[in-house]
Amino acid sequence: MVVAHAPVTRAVARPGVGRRRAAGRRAALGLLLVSPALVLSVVFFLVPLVLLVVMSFASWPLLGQVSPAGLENYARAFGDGTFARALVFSLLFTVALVPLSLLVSYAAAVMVRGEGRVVSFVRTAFFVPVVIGFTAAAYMASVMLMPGTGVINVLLRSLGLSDGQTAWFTDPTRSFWAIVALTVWKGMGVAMILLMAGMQAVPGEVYDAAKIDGAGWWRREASVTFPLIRRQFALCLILAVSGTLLVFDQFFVLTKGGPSGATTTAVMYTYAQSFVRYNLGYGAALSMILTAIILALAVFQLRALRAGGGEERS
Amino acid sequence: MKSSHRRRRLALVTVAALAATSTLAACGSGDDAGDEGGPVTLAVWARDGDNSLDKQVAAFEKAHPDIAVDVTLVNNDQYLTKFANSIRAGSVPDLIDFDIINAPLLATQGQLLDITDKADALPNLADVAEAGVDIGTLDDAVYSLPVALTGSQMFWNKKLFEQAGLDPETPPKDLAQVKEYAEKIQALGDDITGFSTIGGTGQAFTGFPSGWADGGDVFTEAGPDQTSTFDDPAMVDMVTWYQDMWESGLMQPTDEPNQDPGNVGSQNALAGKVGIMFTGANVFAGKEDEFGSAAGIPGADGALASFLGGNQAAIPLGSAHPDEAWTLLEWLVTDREAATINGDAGWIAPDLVLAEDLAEDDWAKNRVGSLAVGKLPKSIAYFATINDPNGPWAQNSQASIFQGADPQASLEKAAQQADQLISDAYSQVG
Repeated sequence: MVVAHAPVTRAVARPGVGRRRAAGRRAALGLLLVSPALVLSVVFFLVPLVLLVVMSFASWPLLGQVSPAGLENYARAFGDGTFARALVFSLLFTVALVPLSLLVSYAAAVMVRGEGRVVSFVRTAFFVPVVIGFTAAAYMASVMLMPGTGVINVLLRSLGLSDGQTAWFTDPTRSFWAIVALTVWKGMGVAMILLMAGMQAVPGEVYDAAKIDGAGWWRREASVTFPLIRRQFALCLILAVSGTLLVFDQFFVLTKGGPSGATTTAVMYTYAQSFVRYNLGYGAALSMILTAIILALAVFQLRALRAGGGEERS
Repeated sequence: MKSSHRRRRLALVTVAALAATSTLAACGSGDDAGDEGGPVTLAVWARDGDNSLDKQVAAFEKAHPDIAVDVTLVNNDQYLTKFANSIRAGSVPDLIDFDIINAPLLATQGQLLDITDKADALPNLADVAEAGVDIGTLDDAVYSLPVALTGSQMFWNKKLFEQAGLDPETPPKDLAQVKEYAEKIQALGDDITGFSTIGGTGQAFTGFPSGWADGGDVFTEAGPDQTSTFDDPAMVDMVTWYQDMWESGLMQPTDEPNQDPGNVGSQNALAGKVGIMFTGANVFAGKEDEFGSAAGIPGADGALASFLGGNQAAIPLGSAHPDEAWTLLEWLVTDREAATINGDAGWIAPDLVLAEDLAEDDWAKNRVGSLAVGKLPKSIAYFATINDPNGPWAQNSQASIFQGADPQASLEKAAQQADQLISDAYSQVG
């Protein structure tokens, strides 16, 4: 009881100090509550990141002596034709995938933004692939695309579009598009949900006003819905671009980077340098370069979308 | 009220502090060496594909009550990285049981205890699979020994042989005859293919043995001056033979890389759809009666050879209990019970005389026989030059076999690329 009285007395005497103390205590409590997350971030993100930076400036073999290498790893990366090829491939994949994926997600969001049992079933059905691991999905795709017996080849044969013997993953172009299709199917659910939430938040009266003005469905979609969900769209775009540039699993499982290295992505090449050739320092430098590219792209996208959205704030 | 707030806050502080310390503690635990009295506890690492060591250890502990063994399974893909981390952290295990192909790399990096004297004193060293001892040896010093082995062999479907008018007990004697028999079997129709390697056509496990059988090799002697000999005439002939087999349509479509989602090739083989197969014996586990086996894979001249796979064991430098670790290693290499457990788990014991003695039928005897003609590519750059699906051997040999590139020119190119990778690998050795 004594304990309960003391602060009250002090608060009466010096109200400002008490409030400041209370605020300080609240801040301390807040810090305390986030401390487990903070510890995890430091141990599993910050420390590895710092280590990565250090490694990228060192000659770091698997078992031998570590020695400082200055900018050698970076210089080597800029002269490495295979890395450039892998990077271009990853960029190409991103350029092909992201617009397609966002278009499909947008269309799906339009389909599932309403209410009702059927709509919610379709929504779940579209979202389910997101929950499956990429490796498992890639193996499924591999079985479905088997020459002769895979269900997709059987379907194409019965439609008279092929002889059913297409070996999808032995040709760079075919495997590229097969994996684009797989990735769209697998990943479109996340953007769909984000865009759908944005669409559902658009007030009904805006549509009513547009209708009174004589706007048809397409016009309402283009001039009302899309501008109002631009923020969600920006988020989806940034997530899609950075995620796609780091593409790894599906190519690792389905093509192993082949044939003849034609489908090796930037991350696969980095992985091979680090864990097949054990040039850990060089692998770290490649990772740093990738990080810088993704960071630059994200900043660029944010700026571009913010510039476009200027009138929204005024 | 306030005091209860404080108590709650105190509880939160305690929970948070405990969470933080336990996270940190988990990062650096695991060394129980230095127990006073009682049995010594050996920390042993095994790769996750090893299914026999647990049972062997149980039998070992029974025979050696003063030594307890704590086995940790380590993901095979992360084995070397994890071992490297343990060296940097100064807490290595007492014994490592690892993929035999990594033996040259670990020995070259100077991280293993020299066990030459102990190995020389083994009563059965002369009976241990020669290639297994050789790959653990560097500059005449022994650093690791084989503990569980398996090889690649030729198999054939007896029923299909009969249907094609061939003798189900007589295998083809050389590569030319493999093709001849495969053509006869494929002529049976009904989606039957004549020949398959099930995975990795023209690669190390089933391709190299044909080249080795004809006296070829893929590397010069291990060491800083090592070069690749991918364009060795016997290796070029081997790749040319596979190119011909593929172009003749005698192989399963799934033999082409990136077409087999897992085990379709072996399922076809087990379903009786393939005549002759170059692969490992464990593919046929449970169906051995339906297939014939040879003691290796033939070359062009009729000799047999095999790729020696399996596990090697070594004592890392810095092991807290090297003597007890050797006791376990010695037991694994020499003991009859260890050999029996190996056999039950689908491995062959490293002591081939003992393994032969334990072999009860032709199938098992041929498995042992394949190890006697077993070989291994001995290089610290094995993964980069041969195993990497985008590495020089895989890319260039596959370009020849499946895309019709000239084998001689392809393998010359591969050899040049490999030489660079080997010299890169040695430049990293401290």
